[in-house]
Amino acid sequence: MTIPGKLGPVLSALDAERGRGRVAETLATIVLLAVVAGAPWIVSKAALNDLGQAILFGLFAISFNIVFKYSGLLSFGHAAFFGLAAYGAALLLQAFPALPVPVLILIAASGAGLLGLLLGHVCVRRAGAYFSMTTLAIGAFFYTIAFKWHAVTGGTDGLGSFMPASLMLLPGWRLVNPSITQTYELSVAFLIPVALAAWFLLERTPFGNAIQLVRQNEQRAVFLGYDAHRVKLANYGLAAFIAGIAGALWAIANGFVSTDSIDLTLSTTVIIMTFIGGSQWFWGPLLGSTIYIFGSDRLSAVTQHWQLWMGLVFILLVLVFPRGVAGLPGMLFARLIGRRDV
Amino acid sequence: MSDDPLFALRGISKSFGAGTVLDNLSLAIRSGERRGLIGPNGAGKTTLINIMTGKYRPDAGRIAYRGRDITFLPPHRRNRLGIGRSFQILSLFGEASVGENIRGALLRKHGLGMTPARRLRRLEQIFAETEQIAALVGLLSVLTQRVNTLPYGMQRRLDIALVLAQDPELIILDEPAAGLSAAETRDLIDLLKTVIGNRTLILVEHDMDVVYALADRITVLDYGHVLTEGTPAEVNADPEVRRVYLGEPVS
Repeated sequence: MTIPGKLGPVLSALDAERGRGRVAETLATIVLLAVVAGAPWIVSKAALNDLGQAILFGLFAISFNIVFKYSGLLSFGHAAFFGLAAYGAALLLQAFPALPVPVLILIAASGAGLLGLLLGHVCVRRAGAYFSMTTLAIGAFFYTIAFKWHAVTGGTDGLGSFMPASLMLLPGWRLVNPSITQTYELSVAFLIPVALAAWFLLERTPFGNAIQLVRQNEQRAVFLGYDAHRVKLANYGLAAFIAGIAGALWAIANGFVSTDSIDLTLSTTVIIMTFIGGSQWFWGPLLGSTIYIFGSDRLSAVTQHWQLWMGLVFILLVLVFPRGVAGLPGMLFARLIGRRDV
Repeated sequence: MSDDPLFALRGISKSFGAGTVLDNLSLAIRSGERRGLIGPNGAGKTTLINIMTGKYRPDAGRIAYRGRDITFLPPHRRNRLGIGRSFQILSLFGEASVGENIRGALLRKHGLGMTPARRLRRLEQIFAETEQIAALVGLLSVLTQRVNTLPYGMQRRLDIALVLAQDPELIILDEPAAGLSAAETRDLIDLLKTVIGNRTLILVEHDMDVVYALADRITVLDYGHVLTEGTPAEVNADPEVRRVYLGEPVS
């Protein structure tokens, strides 16, 4: 592609600098999303069930990684947003079974996004361990609410049987007793556009540029007039909103919501998924969640102590592939040409 | 323009623990002035800059810019009013390219800092301006190189470029020649002479050649207060200044 005029040198050289990596990344993204979208025709029903869980947790892990990769903040309480939207969607469906699904998801996710903006106002001010500890406290707080407030959340029993026999997708378009394939397709119909929009926002617009500048050098960004707090807060709100979409979809796909969707275990599981997949690639967490879900499913069929083995595998992965599975090609490439500073 | 100073500090004090760094310090900079700030190590120059730009809050005193009290404005708000600064210890976006660094400053200046919609590459005007700024400081040929890979002298120029890109009314340079060779320092002086134009300048610098070449008025700080203030010739002739610098000739 040639760009005429004064822009020429800037853009062509930018392409040269990052061109090779960009092409590989774009290809990998297309393949990954094509596999996700085409899975109903490729894999078995049982595998599709797992994959459905994997992509919803994948979207959730992408949301976690938006805060981790783009703002450099490690959240230990990200399940609060996922769980809030999951419970919100469940309660909404119980009260208004005729609510169209997109509206339902939008309401639940907006609630999570608003909560993110509210909580972010406090926790995004601090970086490092302070941020992590604050989010841990937030996560514990919302788990306790879900666990204790039996009248609303059902406590340990959770909320079941909220799935109406027919799910209104859009006015005049209903899903009657949705099958696994249909809920999977519903999830994909949200996952791909939502994640792509977030990717575009963070990688291609001035908004994402500001977020990346603040992560790279907050001091300088501030003296260029960027409001670092607002920039990080906006990113945190965006991540909470996307976590909310994943949580609401998860509630709809499962027809059941319990404290599993908001507890601290989920907050740590999402970190593990992200690191398995690789945090440096936007889609790495989706890869990681798939490996995690299928891995734990296979392992739990073999042994009761699958979590022990999963933990060992995780430690090994982090030691051997610090950049996760998605970082593997880059690592191999670097080793091949003898460079280590990639 | 009236005689009111563009930038004024009144009765600024700042302590860290038991140590008083700035003690009831006042300073008034007129519009268009090029003020050099000198003083021995520990005179409080860096603290003063951090108070001017909003990194620290003074324990006492007021800061006014264009007659407006900015004592409690955070750094980014002061920057948006037209106060730009460089850094003694280089503070750049090292993983990004030279062009991306400059673009970051330009996007913010044009009020596009957080626009969630437009593709970065579609911002033709920004790209054109990025090239202009890079050409101004002699970095056009390395526009697409990653900042971390550039020699130190070039990174210093980028530091200046980021300030210039914002087109600030008041430029505060914190030791812009720190770590530069004699030849690089001469180039820097030439560069600054051409690019500063009629902007107001506050220059903190150890290298007296740089101060004498650029400043039309000099303030000497010592132990947190103003020792003397005057034209370069006056300051040069002041015996008190010579005493403070203790054998380190000022000329």
